[in-house]
Amino acid sequence: MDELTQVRAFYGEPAPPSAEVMAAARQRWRLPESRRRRAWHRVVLPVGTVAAGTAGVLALTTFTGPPSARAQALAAVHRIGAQSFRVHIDVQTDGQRHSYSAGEFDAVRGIGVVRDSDGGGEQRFFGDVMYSALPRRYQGPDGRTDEFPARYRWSKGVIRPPKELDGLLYGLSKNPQRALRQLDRAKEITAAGPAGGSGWHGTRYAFTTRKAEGIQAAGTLDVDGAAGVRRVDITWSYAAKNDPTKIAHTVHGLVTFDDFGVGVAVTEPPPAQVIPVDLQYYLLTGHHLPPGSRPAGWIPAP
Amino acid sequence: MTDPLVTARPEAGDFGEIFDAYFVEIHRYVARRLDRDIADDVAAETFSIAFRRRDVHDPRRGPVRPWLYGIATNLIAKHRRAEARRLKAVQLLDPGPKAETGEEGTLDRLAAEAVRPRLARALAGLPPRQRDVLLLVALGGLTYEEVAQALDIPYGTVCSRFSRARAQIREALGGTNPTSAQEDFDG
Repeated sequence: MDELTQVRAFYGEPAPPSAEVMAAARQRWRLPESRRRRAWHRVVLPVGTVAAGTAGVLALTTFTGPPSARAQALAAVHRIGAQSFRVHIDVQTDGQRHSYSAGEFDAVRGIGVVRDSDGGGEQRFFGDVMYSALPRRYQGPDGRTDEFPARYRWSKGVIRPPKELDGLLYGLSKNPQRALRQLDRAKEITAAGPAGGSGWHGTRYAFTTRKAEGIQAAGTLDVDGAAGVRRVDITWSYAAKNDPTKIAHTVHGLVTFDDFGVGVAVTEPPPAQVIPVDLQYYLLTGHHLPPGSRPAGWIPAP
Repeated sequence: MTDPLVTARPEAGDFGEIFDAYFVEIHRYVARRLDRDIADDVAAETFSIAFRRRDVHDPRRGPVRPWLYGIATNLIAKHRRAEARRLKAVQLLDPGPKAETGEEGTLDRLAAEAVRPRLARALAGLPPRQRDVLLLVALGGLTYEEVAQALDIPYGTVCSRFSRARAQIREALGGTNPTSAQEDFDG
């Protein structure tokens, strides 16, 4: 463990704020200045005391209530950043299986590995650095199929954190704990009834995103009784270019989490097996990478 | 698309969105540094101050998240003694092995338990401004740039404070860093 991981482990994982504290805090900034402190003390301090029983009950009746569905869902989303877990990612395009992959992540140490179900692909993660197993063959810029030099087995790049919720699926397969935090930007999160799976029961939350450039996403987030994220089910709808009112196609992602606390062991590939960024760029595009430039769509690792 | 939380208007409805999105996270950060009862109050006061100063916050300077961390950090500074007491208490704990099970029983967790007193001493010995930078990165997950925004200090100052704090922690842990080939955060 490096020293930052030691520091995080040292400070541990505190329990989330109680419903009373959240409700009181929510009310605190709504109140006039003169009443803020007084209201806070009425709610938080007298709870459980006999002397202030009447006032406490009155204050709780006035100020408390369950935390919002959004707050509860986001609390689970943030909690997963302090856990290790297995993740399973199933993607369908227009109802057809597109890909299935699975892996494990240690969010505290910032490492992880994901493998394609067909055994052909593998990605290893160290912070924002990603190593991708090279396919044996690739299609060059002239359309011809060629082979990567045999000595190279990995490419190295830097993950671009998705800036929009539409990038959530991309992120879930690369840095799920960070990608889930994109739900902070969800347009709406509401409680949608009970949820459950093998060995757990919990709550389902429904979310929607703001429509942007003809793309809108909606889905559900399942959280177990211990405030752990268990399942994310999300569908992206792409509007037809010639008729924005019609859906041209959909992408559906089902991401499940389990085996919390799993040990994660991942090693970095030997440097000699990692293809230089400029060579990879040349093979795929037929052009040399201009000095100091960054190819569009991805960021080469230094 | 612009982050709606960056451009949130000062009306109570939009501020509620900010509260819902960040209260748990800010509370978590504060509760790791201070006793629970103080943390409840500090986290609530963070949003109370943010609401009062919502007209002052300039969205062009950055998103609200680092801004909230900055307010929380300033409030934590008023409880330095409480934070020091906590760290002092850990220094006095017996670092002997504990029987643990399940998720808590990982090797990493046990290793962390063994060095807790040394780590507490090192953290307590850090200058407060260095400790703030270190913990905003380590616990808050802020980038150097976000820390600079949160504390309203230059980026270079963040880098130097972080580097010095990290070096002191590393030294307290025995001067070795098995994963030193990779930085945990880029700035």
